[in-house]
Amino acid sequence: MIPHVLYVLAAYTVVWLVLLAYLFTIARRQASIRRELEELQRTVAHRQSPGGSGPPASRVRQ
Amino acid sequence: MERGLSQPKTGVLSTLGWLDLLWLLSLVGIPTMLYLALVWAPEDAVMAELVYRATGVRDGVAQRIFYTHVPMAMAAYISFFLVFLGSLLYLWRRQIVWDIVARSSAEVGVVFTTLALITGSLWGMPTWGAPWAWDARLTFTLVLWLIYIAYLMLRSAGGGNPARTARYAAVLGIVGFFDIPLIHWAVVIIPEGMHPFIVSESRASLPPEMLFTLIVAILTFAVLALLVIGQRIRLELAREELENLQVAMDRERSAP
Amino acid sequence: MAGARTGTVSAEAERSLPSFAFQVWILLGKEAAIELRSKELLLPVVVFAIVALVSFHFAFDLRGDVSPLVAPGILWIAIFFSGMLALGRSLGRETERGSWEGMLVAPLDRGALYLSKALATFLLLTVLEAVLLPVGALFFRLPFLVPGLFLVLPLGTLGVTSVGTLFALMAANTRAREAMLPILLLPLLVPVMVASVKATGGFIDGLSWGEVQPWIGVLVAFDLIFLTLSTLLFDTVTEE
Repeated sequence: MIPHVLYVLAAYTVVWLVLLAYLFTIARRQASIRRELEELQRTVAHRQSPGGSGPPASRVRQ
Repeated sequence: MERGLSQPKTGVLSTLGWLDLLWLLSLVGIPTMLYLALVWAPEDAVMAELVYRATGVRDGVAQRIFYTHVPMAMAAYISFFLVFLGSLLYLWRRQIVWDIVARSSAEVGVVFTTLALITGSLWGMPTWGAPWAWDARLTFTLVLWLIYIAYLMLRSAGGGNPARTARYAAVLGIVGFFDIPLIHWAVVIIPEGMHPFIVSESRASLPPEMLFTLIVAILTFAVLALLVIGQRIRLELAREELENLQVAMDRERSAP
Repeated sequence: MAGARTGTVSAEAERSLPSFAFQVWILLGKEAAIELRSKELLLPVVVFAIVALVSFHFAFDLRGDVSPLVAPGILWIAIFFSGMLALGRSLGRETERGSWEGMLVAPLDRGALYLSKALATFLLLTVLEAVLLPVGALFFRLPFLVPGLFLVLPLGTLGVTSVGTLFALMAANTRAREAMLPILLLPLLVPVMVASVKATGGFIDGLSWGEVQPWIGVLVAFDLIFLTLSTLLFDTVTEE
């Protein structure tokens, strides 16, 4: 016979573990996309001005 | 996108941005909800009696699962309503943002429905002595789960035409939402109407402390659902921006 | 011959855009003419339903007392799966042969196109039921010959074809279409399945009208809501 408290414990643990894991994967994917985006912006800026002067972010809008 | 949110520095709210506000509310709501649900709320005698009759154990603690189970289901309904809203606005305006709202909400809704089903089973084990007893409300949740899993599968089976996939998904998002009241009618309302005894027993009026705890829990998880959906939308927007940039670069490379 | 006939129909339509109801009627006539000549859908669907009945016999041994208990479920499982087979074939072959594009170019209301497809499949399944009921009653001893069934059968069948036509066209344009159609359709059709089986069981058990009536209400509401909604949404599904 399993004590009923364990079911309560299990329910609350599962809920918070799953939600935290889900939020964590979203954050991780967000970070990797941001990294890729910045890399891309840097190459664009680099190609548009071979000297490499000026902030990369302002170049991307063109 | 982020800069746009934080640029006007008038007042606290606009500098925080609405996602940060939701984070703040969650940071207050989550510990409050946990304290109320696990410590403060009393255990109901009627429910304890039901548990005793089913399992022969005098223990009302399993009922505390309700404070996390019911809000999961509510959070899922909010998400599915946002799927409907996003689908409708996408078909009307044809802006990719609304498709992103719909698909993000669908995924989050499926996560919350899954949690509602798991916590429902964990409540069922001590209450009925079985993880699944085809309880009307849990069955209803199961059908919703299947519909929105089909929604996600339809999206992934779309193949090379993103605009068509978005349109098809929007149609399912709208049809599925109109189906929800009919499923509720066929699976919950009519069967319960035919067994008035069970209804009067399970709908025994909640003591005010339990009701208060349940409301706080529902509000907390509603905020949390919006927060997760917001994060998911932000992710999809960033991905969209990345793809657009890659397409633009490819075009530039092919036509110098 | 048939091609020439279809040609005159669309030529007529071009000259004076016929009313919505008339468009549905003409398209329905076209579907019926094609099916009567080829029997490309009816034959496999009827054979499938008979094979299903035989399988049900081996699964449940219909000679015993279980027959009235399982009869409503057997009837509706057979109709649901025959329906999905017919819908999948009917819309799948249109996209395969490219005949669908021709229809979309014609000056027709897309809603009329939807309704004619839905009603054609409804008629097809009605013919199937006209075979299924006597065969089930005579050879499988299933209590299928109850007057109330003449009310439940059309309502439930219309429910299947209403959403079914919309999603069969969508499934036909996705990968893994054979698997996609039941995955999309069966959860959405839960109210139809529940209400049809309960109402059929109620009529077989000889329950009072008051006990069966709520289920009939579900079916009527489902048919009205989804015939309207699908007619409106079909435009979005067919645009390219």
